[in-house]
Amino acid sequence: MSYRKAISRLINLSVRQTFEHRSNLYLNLTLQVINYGFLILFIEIIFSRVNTVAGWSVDEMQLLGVVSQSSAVLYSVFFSGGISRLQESVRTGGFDYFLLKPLDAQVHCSVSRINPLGLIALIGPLIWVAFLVSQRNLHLSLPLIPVVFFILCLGVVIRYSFGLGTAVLSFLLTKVSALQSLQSALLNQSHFPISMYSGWMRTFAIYMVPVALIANSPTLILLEGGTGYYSIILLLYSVLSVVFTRYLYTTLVKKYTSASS
Amino acid sequence: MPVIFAEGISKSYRRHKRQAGIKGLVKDFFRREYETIPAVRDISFQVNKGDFIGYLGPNGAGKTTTLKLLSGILLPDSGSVKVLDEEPFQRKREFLRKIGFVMGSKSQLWWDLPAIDTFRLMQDIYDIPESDYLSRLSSLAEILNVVNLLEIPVRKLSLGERMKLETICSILHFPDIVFLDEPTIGLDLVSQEAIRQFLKWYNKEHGATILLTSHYIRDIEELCERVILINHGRITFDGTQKDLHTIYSNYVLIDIENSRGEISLEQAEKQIQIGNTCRYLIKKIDLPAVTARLDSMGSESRNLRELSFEEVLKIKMQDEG
Amino acid sequence: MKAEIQTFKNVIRETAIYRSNTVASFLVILVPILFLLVFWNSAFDTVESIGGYSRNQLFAYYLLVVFLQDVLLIRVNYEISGDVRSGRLSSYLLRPFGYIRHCFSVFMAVSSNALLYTGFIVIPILALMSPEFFRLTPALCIGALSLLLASLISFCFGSCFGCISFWFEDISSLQTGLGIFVPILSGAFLPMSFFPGWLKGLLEVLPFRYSLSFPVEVLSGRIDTFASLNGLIIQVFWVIVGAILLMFTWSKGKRVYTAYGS
Repeated sequence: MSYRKAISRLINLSVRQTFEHRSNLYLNLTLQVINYGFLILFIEIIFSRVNTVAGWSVDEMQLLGVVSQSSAVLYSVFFSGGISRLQESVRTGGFDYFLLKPLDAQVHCSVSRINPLGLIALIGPLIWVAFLVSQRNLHLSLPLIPVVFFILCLGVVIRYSFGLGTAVLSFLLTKVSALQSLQSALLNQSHFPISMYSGWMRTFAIYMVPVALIANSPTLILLEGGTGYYSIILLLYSVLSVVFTRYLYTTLVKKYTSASS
Repeated sequence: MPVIFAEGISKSYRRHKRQAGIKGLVKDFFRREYETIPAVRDISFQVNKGDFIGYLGPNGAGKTTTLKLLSGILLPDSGSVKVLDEEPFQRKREFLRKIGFVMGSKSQLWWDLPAIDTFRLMQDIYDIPESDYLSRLSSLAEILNVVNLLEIPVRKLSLGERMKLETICSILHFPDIVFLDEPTIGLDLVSQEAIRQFLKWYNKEHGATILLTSHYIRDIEELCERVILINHGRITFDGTQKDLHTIYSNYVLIDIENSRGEISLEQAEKQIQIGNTCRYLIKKIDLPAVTARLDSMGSESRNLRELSFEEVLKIKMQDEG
Repeated sequence: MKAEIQTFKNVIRETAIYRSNTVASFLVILVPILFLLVFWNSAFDTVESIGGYSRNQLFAYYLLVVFLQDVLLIRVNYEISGDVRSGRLSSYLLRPFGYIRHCFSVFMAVSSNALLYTGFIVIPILALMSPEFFRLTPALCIGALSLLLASLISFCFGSCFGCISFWFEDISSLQTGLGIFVPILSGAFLPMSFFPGWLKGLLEVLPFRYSLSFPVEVLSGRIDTFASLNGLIIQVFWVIVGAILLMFTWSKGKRVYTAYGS
């Protein structure tokens, strides 16, 4: 069986399904833009009263916000729909059909709601970066953009691992919606500068749940040309998290009891 | 060589025991107590290629759990299962290509899109060559009379129409074994008949092995030569319809109105109260003695008859496992 | 009252059944606030006061937000729109116990529950940081009343929003939007005094402020008694407006309800 064919068909169906509720799509995109606007406004409001926070200027913070938002958009486009679907289908018993197909159920579910149209939400952040570079003279290491993109993708992989790891707990627990919201709320704090963390909070945010690295790593590379240490941690963490999540899935799926008929 | 071989399989579910009152609520929050509910207990049977089996039992008997154990959705707590010489729970790709499962109460069609889109996805997942896909879809859609429904969004279809399309979706890859869990539930009479005829055709035409659970007697009577009854997780009967009839061919049912009080009949093997009427299951050889007793008591109207298949099933379903 | 009390009990019991979900619900509120506190802690490294708040005062503000947000902010809209879309509403309409009454019982139960769980953690911290909160002052009494009115505002407008499902099949995006904007506009992430003048002025005449920020400011003593009483009157006004809107949307909505999906 060709995974490539099946996955491209899934993407096709997801896009078509999204278009069935066009108003929802437009509204979602608008909300993402407005949400991002609020983040920019939030930063502007704070920096109208202080000059720097943890050594970061207003432009650097806004760049960090752009990168964080981009990471969230990529995750939302590729994986968040599929992961919600996994959790919901385990709860209702619909996961049975995933298990009955000759296609790995974890892969099938994870990519079952890819929505490339969501990438439109990246336009706003990219325009803002162009504004920061041209109007506010923010200096970026543009030749390192491929590396930045790669590090950004590692952050998306980590979001996926956490999302999936929480979703597979639904094989054990009846209701995990709040746990899902919790991991989402946690990883959505990636727009804060890494230098604000200290002590146990720093250990937590870098080594335990690398929320501080998801957006900070690529941003620091863009701004300063590189801090390999955080990127290496992110790489190691993403590999380990994928392996661990797969192990968790294969172990917990045995506990699946399937909602009754 | 049987295609399905189940030996001593058991499966239990864990359920938390609710504690009463506020104290119980707080205790529950910090230290929960659980109880184990056995769904399937030490079940053994074999199925040969091409068999069409009715798997029956009252609600909560363990029918659906059994089908899920055989298809690999669930892992048995004990015992051994082999389907097409594979352990279902390993879920090997080749195994999954050869089975299909139709669940009456769950859907795999994409809700907002026409069924044809889901069928195309199935084609890709099961790697069905284009020519085979088109010919199969054409024949299945014609038999079930859904050719005009293929391009309509699923959410706009009735339940009967959706079930027919769900059935096609699960059989498009022409599996060797099909599990059906109440496929006719909630359908009108015409749709029920359509599904029945379709399954009969598929079993005969492709030699597929079919396991069907249903609460509709017509499904079993028309389709299943062999019947397995399960109650409280145990098999209470495994044989043909004819065997089941034969067990009770020496019995009759008597319905007696007992407005003046319940009548006790020592010859009655079973006795159930339905409103003002008491129903007794009696051996034919005891009939003269029973009739004489009833006459002497001056009992009112009584109705004597042979057992229908449905009544035989009802009696058998009440057998403790 | 019996039906309301039993509904209340059922909701409390449900919370106890889904333990991990209950604990996680509290942490969902706490996590963003925790990160905000760390952020503000850094911001105060270079200044003594920001927007009229000292470090401790801002921390106390956020702790009160954590305490009250789960209690006050809208949730009932999801319940109502879910019942309408799935057709579950039909079974409620057949009962001799009004659906809105049922929703209100559920809302009060969930809010009381949230008060209990978050209070368990937040109140001791507040008591250590700012023991003056717990003296019986006019601010505390007015604060308690404003809390009740804020929950009524939340309920009425949230229910109106949920009733939109009678006319639109899928309002999930609108719900998401509400979930994003209401906390922002209610002052969950930034005290109102930080907002630019035009936004502050706009929010003075909208109900958002009175569903969270206002009770928080009263309880933390940032508003004098006269302004607090003034705010109470505005809250009563919004409760009345919300209730009228709810009666209107509910009665219109029932007429167009199609019981689709049941």
